[in-house]
Amino acid sequence: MVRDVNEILRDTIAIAEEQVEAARSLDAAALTESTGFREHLLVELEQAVNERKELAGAGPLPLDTEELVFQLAELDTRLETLLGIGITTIEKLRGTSDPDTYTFEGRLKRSTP
Amino acid sequence: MSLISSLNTAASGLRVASQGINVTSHNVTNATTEGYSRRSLRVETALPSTKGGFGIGNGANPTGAKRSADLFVNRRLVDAIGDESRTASHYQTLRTVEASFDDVSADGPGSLLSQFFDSLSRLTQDPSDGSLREEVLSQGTRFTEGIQKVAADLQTGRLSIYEELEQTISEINNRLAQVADFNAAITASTSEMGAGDFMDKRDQIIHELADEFGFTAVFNGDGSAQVSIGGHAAVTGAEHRELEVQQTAAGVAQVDLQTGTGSVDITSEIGGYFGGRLDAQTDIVSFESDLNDFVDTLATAFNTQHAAGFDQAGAPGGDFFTFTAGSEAATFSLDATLAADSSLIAAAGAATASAGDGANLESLIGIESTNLYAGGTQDATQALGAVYASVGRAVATAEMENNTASVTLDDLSALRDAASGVDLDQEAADLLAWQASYQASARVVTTTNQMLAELMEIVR
Repeated sequence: MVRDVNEILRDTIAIAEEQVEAARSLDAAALTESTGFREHLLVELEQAVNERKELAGAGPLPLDTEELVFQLAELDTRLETLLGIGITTIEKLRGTSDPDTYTFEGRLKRSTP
Repeated sequence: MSLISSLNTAASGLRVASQGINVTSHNVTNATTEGYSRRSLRVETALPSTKGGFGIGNGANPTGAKRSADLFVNRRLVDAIGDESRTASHYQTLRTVEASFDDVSADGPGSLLSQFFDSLSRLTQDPSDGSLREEVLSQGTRFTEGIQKVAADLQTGRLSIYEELEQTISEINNRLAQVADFNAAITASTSEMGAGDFMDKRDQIIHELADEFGFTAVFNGDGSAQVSIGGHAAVTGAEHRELEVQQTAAGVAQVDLQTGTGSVDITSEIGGYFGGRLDAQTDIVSFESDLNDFVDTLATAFNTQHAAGFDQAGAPGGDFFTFTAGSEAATFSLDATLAADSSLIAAAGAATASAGDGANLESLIGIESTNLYAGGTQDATQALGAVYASVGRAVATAEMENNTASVTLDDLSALRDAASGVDLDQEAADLLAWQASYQASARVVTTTNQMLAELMEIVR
Protein backbone atom coordinates (compact mmCIF):
# COMPACT_ATOMS: atom_id res chain seq x y z
CA MET A 1 0.00 0.00 0.00
CA VAL A 2 1.62 3.20 -1.18
CA ARG A 3 1.04 6.25 1.01
CA ASP A 4 -0.35 9.51 -0.28
CA VAL A 5 2.20 11.83 -1.95
CA ASN A 6 1.31 14.71 0.38
CA GLU A 7 1.88 12.59 3.45
CA ILE A 8 5.30 11.51 2.20
CA LEU A 9 6.18 15.10 1.27
CA ARG A 10 5.26 16.38 4.76
CA ASP A 11 7.47 13.70 6.36
CA THR A 12 10.26 14.59 3.93
CA ILE A 13 9.97 18.29 4.86
CA ALA A 14 10.28 17.41 8.57
CA ILE A 15 13.37 15.33 7.86
CA ALA A 16 14.84 18.05 5.60
CA GLU A 17 14.50 20.52 8.51
CA GLU A 18 16.43 18.08 10.70
CA GLN A 19 19.11 17.84 8.00
CA VAL A 20 19.40 21.64 7.87
CA GLU A 21 19.74 21.78 11.63
CA ALA A 22 22.40 19.02 11.65
CA ALA A 23 24.34 20.67 8.81
CA ARG A 24 24.31 24.04 10.61
CA SER A 25 25.68 22.61 13.83
CA LEU A 26 28.30 20.44 12.08
CA ASP A 27 26.66 17.41 13.69
CA ALA A 28 27.81 14.68 11.33
CA ALA A 29 26.08 11.88 13.23
CA ALA A 30 22.66 13.60 13.18
CA LEU A 31 23.11 14.52 9.53
CA THR A 32 23.90 10.90 8.61
CA GLU A 33 20.88 9.66 10.54
CA SER A 34 18.41 12.13 9.03
CA THR A 35 19.80 11.49 5.54
CA GLY A 36 19.18 7.76 6.09
CA PHE A 37 15.51 8.46 6.88
CA ARG A 38 15.34 10.72 3.86
CA GLU A 39 16.58 7.90 1.60
CA HIS A 40 13.74 5.63 2.78
CA LEU A 41 11.22 8.39 2.12
CA LEU A 42 12.76 8.92 -1.32
CA VAL A 43 12.09 5.32 -2.29
CA GLU A 44 8.53 5.66 -1.02
CA LEU A 45 8.12 8.95 -2.93
CA GLU A 46 9.37 7.31 -6.13
CA GLN A 47 6.71 4.63 -5.81
CA ALA A 48 4.05 7.24 -5.13
CA VAL A 49 5.18 9.34 -8.10
CA ASN A 50 5.09 6.29 -10.40
CA GLU A 51 1.58 5.55 -9.21
CA ARG A 52 0.71 9.20 -9.77
CA LYS A 53 2.06 8.96 -13.34
CA GLU A 54 -0.40 6.23 -14.12
CA LEU A 55 -3.19 8.48 -12.89
CA ALA A 56 -1.81 11.69 -14.48
CA GLY A 57 -4.77 12.05 -16.74
CA ALA A 58 -7.08 12.34 -13.78
CA GLY A 59 -6.43 16.09 -13.37
CA PRO A 60 -3.95 18.80 -12.30
CA LEU A 61 -1.72 18.44 -9.23
CA PRO A 62 -3.64 19.62 -6.13
CA LEU A 63 -2.55 23.02 -4.84
CA ASP A 64 -1.59 21.71 -1.41
CA THR A 65 0.78 19.20 -3.04
CA GLU A 66 2.29 21.97 -5.15
CA GLU A 67 2.78 24.10 -2.03
CA LEU A 68 4.53 21.21 -0.26
CA VAL A 69 6.82 20.71 -3.26
CA PHE A 70 7.85 24.39 -3.23
CA GLN A 71 8.35 24.26 0.56
CA LEU A 72 10.59 21.22 0.23
CA ALA A 73 12.48 22.78 -2.70
CA GLU A 74 13.15 25.91 -0.62
CA LEU A 75 14.43 23.82 2.30
CA ASP A 76 16.65 21.87 -0.05
CA THR A 77 18.09 25.07 -1.48
CA ARG A 78 19.12 26.12 2.04
CA LEU A 79 20.42 22.65 2.75
CA GLU A 80 22.47 22.57 -0.46
CA THR A 81 23.97 25.95 0.40
CA LEU A 82 24.95 24.74 3.87
CA LEU A 83 26.30 21.45 2.57
CA GLY A 84 28.24 23.28 -0.15
CA ILE A 85 29.84 25.55 2.45
CA GLY A 86 30.60 22.56 4.68
CA ILE A 87 32.16 20.51 1.88
CA THR A 88 34.25 23.47 0.67
CA THR A 89 35.56 24.28 4.13
CA ILE A 90 36.33 20.66 4.94
CA GLU A 91 38.20 20.29 1.64
CA LYS A 92 40.18 23.41 2.49
CA LEU A 93 41.08 21.96 5.87
CA ARG A 94 41.93 18.52 4.59
CA GLY A 95 43.74 19.68 1.49
CA THR A 96 43.78 17.46 -1.54
CA SER A 97 43.71 13.73 -1.09
CA ASP A 98 44.49 12.98 -4.75
CA PRO A 99 48.08 12.03 -5.46
CA ASP A 100 50.10 13.49 -8.34
CA THR A 101 49.99 11.10 -11.35
CA TYR A 102 51.64 10.69 -14.76
CA THR A 103 49.56 11.05 -17.93
CA PHE A 104 49.80 8.73 -20.94
CA GLU A 105 52.18 11.25 -22.47
CA GLY A 106 54.45 10.89 -19.48
CA ARG A 107 53.71 14.33 -18.04
CA LEU A 108 53.21 14.82 -14.34
CA LYS A 109 49.62 15.71 -13.61
CA ARG A 110 49.49 17.57 -10.33
CA SER A 111 46.43 17.29 -8.15
CA THR A 112 44.46 20.49 -7.63
CA PRO A 113 44.44 21.73 -4.04
CA MET B 1 10.75 32.63 2.96
CA SER B 2 12.23 35.53 1.05
CA LEU B 3 15.51 35.37 -0.84
CA ILE B 4 17.08 37.75 1.72
CA SER B 5 16.01 35.43 4.57
CA SER B 6 17.53 32.47 2.80
CA LEU B 7 20.77 34.36 2.37
CA ASN B 8 20.78 35.26 6.08
CA THR B 9 20.26 31.63 7.00
CA ALA B 10 23.03 30.54 4.67
CA ALA B 11 25.26 33.26 6.11
CA SER B 12 24.73 31.90 9.63
CA GLY B 13 25.81 28.49 8.32
CA LEU B 14 28.90 30.15 6.89
CA ARG B 15 29.69 31.69 10.28
CA VAL B 16 29.36 28.27 11.93
CA ALA B 17 31.54 26.63 9.31
CA SER B 18 34.22 29.33 9.44
CA GLN B 19 34.23 29.18 13.26
CA GLY B 20 34.58 25.42 12.89
CA ILE B 21 37.64 25.98 10.71
CA ASN B 22 39.07 28.42 13.26
CA VAL B 23 38.58 26.02 16.15
CA THR B 24 39.99 23.02 14.28
CA SER B 25 42.91 25.06 12.92
CA HIS B 26 43.59 26.38 16.43
CA ASN B 27 43.62 22.80 17.77
CA VAL B 28 45.88 21.52 15.00
CA THR B 29 48.27 24.49 15.25
CA ASN B 30 48.59 24.07 19.02
CA ALA B 31 48.74 20.28 19.01
CA THR B 32 52.34 20.39 20.21
CA THR B 33 52.00 23.48 22.43
CA GLU B 34 52.67 22.50 26.02
CA GLY B 35 49.72 23.15 28.29
CA TYR B 36 47.22 23.73 25.43
CA SER B 37 43.68 22.51 26.07
CA ARG B 38 41.60 21.29 23.12
CA ARG B 39 38.72 23.54 22.01
CA SER B 40 35.41 22.36 20.65
CA LEU B 41 32.85 24.53 18.84
CA ARG B 42 29.73 25.55 20.75
CA VAL B 43 26.72 26.25 18.48
CA GLU B 44 23.24 27.54 19.31
CA THR B 45 20.21 27.71 17.02
CA ALA B 46 19.31 31.30 16.14
CA LEU B 47 15.88 32.47 17.31
CA PRO B 48 13.35 31.83 14.50
CA SER B 49 11.32 34.62 12.88
CA THR B 50 7.54 34.38 13.02
CA LYS B 51 5.54 35.11 9.90
CA GLY B 52 1.82 34.43 9.49
CA GLY B 53 1.85 32.10 12.48
CA PHE B 54 4.75 30.07 11.07
CA GLY B 55 8.21 29.94 12.57
CA ILE B 56 10.93 30.47 9.99
CA GLY B 57 14.40 29.23 10.87
CA ASN B 58 17.23 31.74 10.95
CA GLY B 59 20.17 29.37 10.99
CA ALA B 60 22.65 28.94 13.78
CA ASN B 61 25.18 31.05 15.59
CA PRO B 62 28.54 29.96 16.98
CA THR B 63 28.60 31.06 20.61
CA GLY B 64 32.17 30.22 21.48
CA ALA B 65 34.84 27.62 21.78
CA LYS B 66 34.62 25.36 24.80
CA ARG B 67 37.97 24.72 26.52
CA SER B 68 38.34 21.03 27.30
CA ALA B 69 39.99 20.92 30.71
CA ASP B 70 39.47 18.95 33.90
CA LEU B 71 39.96 21.38 36.81
CA PHE B 72 40.48 18.56 39.34
CA VAL B 73 43.16 16.92 37.19
CA ASN B 74 44.72 20.34 36.54
CA ARG B 75 44.97 21.06 40.25
CA ARG B 76 46.37 17.60 41.06
CA LEU B 77 48.79 18.03 38.18
CA VAL B 78 50.07 21.32 39.63
CA ASP B 79 50.74 19.52 42.95
CA ALA B 80 52.33 16.50 41.23
CA ILE B 81 54.64 18.66 39.11
CA GLY B 82 55.85 20.35 42.30
CA ASP B 83 56.38 17.02 44.07
CA GLU B 84 58.27 15.46 41.18
CA SER B 85 60.46 18.50 40.72
CA ARG B 86 61.18 18.70 44.44
CA THR B 87 62.15 15.06 44.81
CA ALA B 88 64.20 15.17 41.59
CA SER B 89 66.29 18.19 42.63
CA HIS B 90 66.67 16.76 46.16
CA TYR B 91 67.95 13.50 44.71
CA GLN B 92 70.23 15.18 42.14
CA THR B 93 71.76 17.52 44.72
CA LEU B 94 72.41 14.65 47.13
CA ARG B 95 73.94 12.61 44.30
CA THR B 96 76.43 15.45 43.80
CA VAL B 97 77.17 15.52 47.54
CA GLU B 98 77.50 11.74 47.65
CA ALA B 99 80.28 11.95 45.04
CA SER B 100 82.37 13.86 47.63
CA PHE B 101 81.94 10.99 50.09
CA ASP B 102 83.98 8.61 47.96
CA ASP B 103 85.20 5.98 50.36
CA VAL B 104 86.07 3.35 47.82
CA SER B 105 89.27 4.91 46.49
CA ALA B 106 92.46 5.32 48.47
CA ASP B 107 91.81 9.08 48.58
CA GLY B 108 88.57 8.78 50.56
CA PRO B 109 88.63 10.05 54.17
CA GLY B 110 87.95 6.52 55.48
CA SER B 111 91.05 5.15 53.73
CA LEU B 112 93.11 8.19 54.70
CA LEU B 113 92.13 7.70 58.36
CA SER B 114 93.39 4.09 58.25
CA GLN B 115 96.58 5.11 56.41
CA PHE B 116 97.28 7.77 59.06
CA PHE B 117 96.97 5.30 61.93
CA ASP B 118 98.98 2.75 59.92
CA SER B 119 101.81 5.30 59.67
CA LEU B 120 101.72 5.65 63.48
CA SER B 121 102.01 1.86 63.78
CA ARG B 122 105.05 1.83 61.49
CA LEU B 123 106.63 4.58 63.63
CA THR B 124 106.49 2.28 66.67
CA GLN B 125 109.15 0.12 64.97
CA ASP B 126 111.64 2.97 65.37
CA PRO B 127 110.27 6.18 66.92
CA SER B 128 113.61 7.89 66.37
CA ASP B 129 113.47 7.32 62.60
CA GLY B 130 113.09 10.73 60.98
CA SER B 131 111.65 9.39 57.73
CA LEU B 132 108.96 7.44 59.61
CA ARG B 133 108.10 10.60 61.57
CA GLU B 134 107.86 12.54 58.30
CA GLU B 135 105.54 9.86 56.95
CA VAL B 136 103.22 10.35 59.96
CA LEU B 137 103.08 14.08 59.20
CA SER B 138 102.51 13.37 55.53
CA GLN B 139 99.67 10.93 56.20
CA GLY B 140 98.20 13.27 58.83
CA THR B 141 98.20 16.09 56.29
CA ARG B 142 96.55 13.89 53.68
CA PHE B 143 93.89 12.82 56.19
CA THR B 144 93.05 16.38 57.31
CA GLU B 145 93.04 17.60 53.71
CA GLY B 146 90.68 14.77 52.78
CA ILE B 147 88.28 15.85 55.54
CA GLN B 148 88.67 19.50 54.49
CA LYS B 149 87.81 18.62 50.89
CA VAL B 150 84.58 16.89 51.91
CA ALA B 151 83.71 19.87 54.14
CA ALA B 152 84.49 22.31 51.30
CA ASP B 153 82.32 20.32 48.89
CA LEU B 154 79.46 20.35 51.39
CA GLN B 155 79.87 24.08 51.92
CA THR B 156 79.98 24.72 48.18
CA GLY B 157 76.82 22.66 47.72
CA ARG B 158 75.08 24.55 50.53
CA LEU B 159 76.14 28.00 49.28
CA SER B 160 75.23 27.19 45.67
CA ILE B 161 71.62 26.74 46.82
CA TYR B 162 71.54 30.28 48.22
CA GLU B 163 73.26 31.72 45.15
CA GLU B 164 70.85 29.98 42.79
CA LEU B 165 67.88 31.22 44.80
CA GLU B 166 69.25 34.77 44.78
CA GLN B 167 69.62 34.67 40.98
CA THR B 168 66.17 33.20 40.39
CA ILE B 169 64.00 35.12 42.83
CA SER B 170 63.44 38.11 40.54
CA GLU B 171 62.33 35.76 37.76
CA ILE B 172 59.86 34.09 40.15
CA ASN B 173 58.52 37.53 41.13
CA ASN B 174 58.07 38.38 37.42
CA ARG B 175 56.06 35.23 36.89
CA LEU B 176 53.82 35.98 39.87
CA ALA B 177 53.20 39.42 38.34
CA GLN B 178 52.41 37.78 34.97
CA VAL B 179 49.81 35.49 36.59
CA ALA B 180 48.18 38.56 38.17
CA ASP B 181 48.15 40.33 34.79
CA PHE B 182 46.60 37.30 33.08
CA ASN B 183 43.97 37.08 35.84
CA ALA B 184 43.00 40.66 35.07
CA ALA B 185 42.89 39.96 31.32
CA ILE B 186 40.79 36.80 31.78
CA THR B 187 38.15 38.42 33.97
CA ALA B 188 37.99 41.39 31.56
CA SER B 189 37.86 39.25 28.38
CA THR B 190 34.58 39.07 26.49
CA SER B 191 35.77 36.39 24.07
CA GLU B 192 35.69 32.81 25.23
CA MET B 193 38.42 31.82 22.76
CA GLY B 194 40.63 34.73 23.89
CA ALA B 195 40.07 34.01 27.59
CA GLY B 196 40.89 30.35 26.95
CA ASP B 197 44.22 31.32 25.41
CA PHE B 198 45.00 33.58 28.38
CA MET B 199 44.11 30.69 30.70
CA ASP B 200 46.44 28.31 28.85
CA LYS B 201 49.33 30.76 29.06
CA ARG B 202 48.61 31.58 32.70
CA ASP B 203 48.25 27.89 33.62
CA GLN B 204 51.58 27.22 31.94
CA ILE B 205 53.21 29.87 34.16
CA ILE B 206 51.47 28.41 37.22
CA HIS B 207 52.83 24.99 36.27
CA GLU B 208 56.32 26.52 36.06
CA LEU B 209 55.84 28.17 39.47
CA ALA B 210 54.65 24.84 40.88
CA ASP B 211 57.57 23.13 39.20
CA GLU B 212 60.18 25.51 40.57
CA PHE B 213 58.74 26.68 43.88
CA GLY B 214 55.81 24.44 44.76
CA PHE B 215 53.15 27.11 44.45
CA THR B 216 49.60 25.75 44.49
CA ALA B 217 46.63 27.21 42.65
CA VAL B 218 42.89 27.46 43.19
CA PHE B 219 40.79 28.32 40.12
CA ASN B 220 37.86 30.63 40.78
CA GLY B 221 34.49 30.74 39.06
CA ASP B 222 35.35 33.98 37.21
CA GLY B 223 38.32 32.25 35.57
CA SER B 224 40.98 33.87 37.76
CA ALA B 225 43.49 31.78 39.72
CA GLN B 226 44.67 32.26 43.29
CA VAL B 227 48.29 31.20 43.71
CA SER B 228 49.58 30.48 47.19
CA ILE B 229 52.37 28.81 49.09
CA GLY B 230 51.97 27.17 52.48
CA GLY B 231 48.62 28.90 52.98
CA HIS B 232 50.05 32.33 52.16
CA ALA B 233 48.54 33.97 49.07
CA ALA B 234 51.09 35.16 46.51
CA VAL B 235 48.59 36.09 43.77
CA THR B 236 44.98 37.06 44.37
CA GLY B 237 43.08 38.38 41.36
CA ALA B 238 45.18 41.11 39.76
CA GLU B 239 47.41 41.58 42.85
CA HIS B 240 50.65 39.78 43.66
CA ARG B 241 53.23 39.74 46.46
CA GLU B 242 57.00 39.58 46.06
CA LEU B 243 59.52 37.09 47.43
CA GLU B 244 62.90 37.95 48.96
CA VAL B 245 65.87 35.72 49.71
CA GLN B 246 68.55 36.22 52.37
CA GLN B 247 71.41 34.27 53.89
CA THR B 248 71.16 33.60 57.63
CA ALA B 249 74.07 33.82 60.06
CA ALA B 250 74.34 30.01 59.84
CA GLY B 251 74.98 30.36 56.08
CA VAL B 252 71.69 28.89 54.93
CA ALA B 253 69.16 30.42 52.54
CA GLN B 254 65.92 31.89 53.85
CA VAL B 255 63.00 32.98 51.65
CA ASP B 256 60.48 35.59 52.83
CA LEU B 257 57.13 36.54 51.34
CA GLN B 258 56.33 40.24 51.56
CA THR B 259 52.93 40.93 53.07
CA GLY B 260 51.05 44.11 53.77
CA THR B 261 52.32 44.12 57.35
CA GLY B 262 55.89 42.96 56.83
CA SER B 263 57.27 39.62 55.74
CA VAL B 264 56.80 35.97 56.59
CA ASP B 265 59.42 33.21 56.41
CA ILE B 266 58.18 30.61 53.92
CA THR B 267 61.43 28.63 53.53
CA SER B 268 59.94 25.45 55.01
CA GLU B 269 56.84 25.80 52.79
CA ILE B 270 58.74 25.92 49.51
CA GLY B 271 58.24 22.92 47.24
CA GLY B 272 59.13 22.14 43.65
CA TYR B 273 62.71 22.32 42.40
CA PHE B 274 63.85 24.76 45.07
CA GLY B 275 61.98 22.81 47.77
CA GLY B 276 64.16 19.86 46.83
CA ARG B 277 67.27 22.04 46.86
CA LEU B 278 66.31 23.34 50.33
CA ASP B 279 65.64 19.76 51.51
CA ALA B 280 69.15 18.96 50.34
CA GLN B 281 70.38 22.07 52.19
CA THR B 282 68.90 20.66 55.41
CA ASP B 283 70.59 17.32 54.71
CA ILE B 284 73.89 19.02 53.95
CA VAL B 285 73.76 21.01 57.20
CA SER B 286 73.15 17.70 59.00
CA PHE B 287 76.12 16.03 57.22
CA GLU B 288 78.31 19.02 58.07
CA SER B 289 77.27 18.80 61.69
CA ASP B 290 78.02 15.05 61.83
CA LEU B 291 81.41 15.59 60.20
CA ASN B 292 82.22 18.47 62.58
CA ASP B 293 81.32 16.31 65.59
CA PHE B 294 83.55 13.54 64.28
CA VAL B 295 86.52 15.88 63.82
CA ASP B 296 85.97 17.57 67.17
CA THR B 297 85.90 14.26 69.05
CA LEU B 298 88.83 12.72 67.17
CA ALA B 299 91.06 15.81 67.28
CA THR B 300 90.31 16.57 70.94
CA ALA B 301 91.01 12.99 72.04
CA PHE B 302 94.17 12.80 69.89
CA ASN B 303 95.49 16.17 71.15
CA THR B 304 94.82 15.19 74.78
CA GLN B 305 96.75 11.94 74.38
CA HIS B 306 99.47 13.70 72.37
CA ALA B 307 99.91 16.22 75.22
CA ALA B 308 100.47 13.29 77.60
CA GLY B 309 103.54 12.21 75.61
CA PHE B 310 106.95 13.72 74.99
CA ASP B 311 108.77 14.75 71.85
CA GLN B 312 112.31 13.86 70.87
CA ALA B 313 113.64 16.78 72.95
CA GLY B 314 111.83 15.45 76.05
CA ALA B 315 109.29 18.30 76.03
CA PRO B 316 105.55 17.58 76.54
CA GLY B 317 103.60 17.22 73.34
CA GLY B 318 101.68 20.19 71.97
CA ASP B 319 98.55 20.11 69.82
CA PHE B 320 98.75 17.61 66.97
CA PHE B 321 95.60 18.80 65.18
CA THR B 322 93.97 22.25 65.08
CA PHE B 323 90.46 23.33 64.17
CA THR B 324 88.06 26.22 64.70
CA ALA B 325 84.93 25.60 66.75
CA GLY B 326 81.80 25.72 64.58
CA SER B 327 83.62 24.79 61.39
CA GLU B 328 85.73 21.92 62.65
CA ALA B 329 85.91 19.90 59.45
CA ALA B 330 86.57 22.87 57.16
CA THR B 331 89.46 24.11 59.32
CA PHE B 332 90.84 20.68 60.31
CA SER B 333 94.60 20.59 59.87
CA LEU B 334 97.91 19.64 61.50
CA ASP B 335 99.31 22.11 64.02
CA ALA B 336 101.55 24.41 61.97
CA THR B 337 104.56 24.16 64.32
CA LEU B 338 104.33 20.37 64.47
CA ALA B 339 103.90 20.12 60.72
CA ALA B 340 107.20 21.94 60.26
CA ASP B 341 109.13 19.75 62.70
CA SER B 342 108.53 16.00 62.93
CA SER B 343 110.65 15.75 66.10
CA LEU B 344 107.74 17.40 67.94
CA ILE B 345 105.63 14.24 67.57
CA ALA B 346 105.20 13.13 71.17
CA ALA B 347 105.91 9.44 70.73
CA ALA B 348 107.63 8.84 74.04
CA GLY B 349 105.82 7.97 77.24
CA ALA B 350 108.29 9.82 79.47
CA ALA B 351 110.53 12.88 79.25
CA THR B 352 113.59 10.86 80.14
CA ALA B 353 112.80 7.94 77.91
CA SER B 354 115.29 6.58 75.44
CA ALA B 355 115.23 7.68 71.83
CA GLY B 356 113.46 4.48 70.82
CA ASP B 357 110.56 4.85 73.25
CA GLY B 358 107.15 4.71 71.59
CA ALA B 359 104.91 4.21 74.62
CA ASN B 360 102.66 7.18 73.83
CA LEU B 361 102.39 6.04 70.23
CA GLU B 362 100.60 2.90 71.41
CA SER B 363 98.08 5.07 73.26
CA LEU B 364 97.62 7.33 70.21
CA ILE B 365 97.04 4.31 67.97
CA GLY B 366 94.46 3.03 70.47
CA ILE B 367 92.31 6.09 69.83
CA GLU B 368 91.33 4.65 66.44
CA SER B 369 89.60 1.68 68.02
CA THR B 370 88.27 3.38 71.16
CA ASN B 371 84.49 3.88 71.30
CA LEU B 372 84.46 7.65 71.68
CA TYR B 373 81.55 8.41 69.33
CA ALA B 374 77.75 8.11 69.38
CA GLY B 375 77.59 7.99 73.16
CA GLY B 376 80.55 5.63 73.42
CA THR B 377 79.21 3.01 71.04
CA GLN B 378 81.35 3.64 67.96
CA ASP B 379 85.05 3.91 67.21
CA ALA B 380 86.58 6.33 64.68
CA THR B 381 86.15 4.09 61.64
CA GLN B 382 82.58 3.25 62.58
CA ALA B 383 81.74 6.91 63.27
CA LEU B 384 83.09 8.06 59.91
CA GLY B 385 81.26 5.13 58.29
CA ALA B 386 78.04 6.26 60.00
CA VAL B 387 78.40 9.71 58.42
CA TYR B 388 78.84 8.03 55.05
CA ALA B 389 75.91 5.71 55.71
CA SER B 390 73.62 8.65 56.55
CA VAL B 391 74.52 10.21 53.17
CA GLY B 392 73.83 6.92 51.39
CA ARG B 393 70.50 6.49 53.18
CA ALA B 394 69.46 10.04 52.32
CA VAL B 395 70.32 9.49 48.65
CA ALA B 396 68.43 6.17 48.54
CA THR B 397 65.36 7.69 50.21
CA ALA B 398 65.42 10.69 47.86
CA GLU B 399 65.69 8.37 44.85
CA MET B 400 62.73 6.29 46.01
CA GLU B 401 60.61 9.41 46.63
CA ASN B 402 61.55 10.74 43.20
CA ASN B 403 60.55 7.48 41.52
CA THR B 404 57.16 7.51 43.27
CA ALA B 405 56.55 11.17 42.36
CA SER B 406 57.53 10.51 38.73
CA VAL B 407 55.01 7.68 38.39
CA THR B 408 52.24 9.86 39.87
CA LEU B 409 53.13 12.73 37.54
CA ASP B 410 53.13 10.44 34.48
CA ASP B 411 49.67 9.12 35.40
CA LEU B 412 48.23 12.60 35.90
CA SER B 413 49.85 13.91 32.70
CA ALA B 414 48.19 11.08 30.78
CA LEU B 415 44.85 11.95 32.39
CA ARG B 416 45.28 15.64 31.50
CA ASP B 417 46.15 14.82 27.90
CA ALA B 418 43.09 12.58 27.67
CA ALA B 419 40.88 15.44 28.88
CA SER B 420 42.57 18.40 27.21
CA GLY B 421 45.13 17.24 24.67
CA VAL B 422 44.68 17.65 20.95
CA ASP B 423 44.53 14.33 19.16
CA LEU B 424 45.39 15.00 15.51
CA ASP B 425 43.87 11.65 14.51
CA GLN B 426 40.65 12.68 16.24
CA GLU B 427 40.62 16.04 14.43
CA ALA B 428 41.20 14.28 11.08
CA ALA B 429 38.50 11.71 11.86
CA ASP B 430 36.04 14.53 12.67
CA LEU B 431 36.77 16.15 9.32
CA LEU B 432 36.32 12.86 7.44
CA ALA B 433 33.02 12.20 9.22
CA TRP B 434 31.76 15.69 8.30
CA GLN B 435 32.88 15.30 4.70
CA ALA B 436 31.27 11.87 4.22
CA SER B 437 28.06 12.99 5.87
CA TYR B 438 27.81 16.25 3.90
CA GLN B 439 28.52 14.57 0.57
CA ALA B 440 25.96 11.81 1.20
CA SER B 441 23.31 14.39 2.13
CA ALA B 442 24.11 16.46 -0.96
CA ARG B 443 23.57 13.41 -3.19
CA VAL B 444 20.20 12.65 -1.58
CA VAL B 445 19.08 16.28 -2.00
CA THR B 446 19.98 16.17 -5.70
CA THR B 447 17.94 12.97 -6.17
CA THR B 448 15.01 14.51 -4.32
CA ASN B 449 15.13 17.56 -6.56
CA GLN B 450 14.99 15.29 -9.62
CA MET B 451 12.04 13.46 -8.14
CA LEU B 452 10.17 16.69 -7.38
CA ALA B 453 10.87 17.99 -10.89
CA GLU B 454 9.44 14.76 -12.22
CA LEU B 455 6.36 15.15 -10.04
CA MET B 456 5.79 18.71 -11.27
CA GLU B 457 6.30 17.56 -14.87
CA ILE B 458 3.40 15.15 -14.61
CA VAL B 459 0.85 17.92 -14.35
CA ARG B 460 2.23 20.18 -17.09
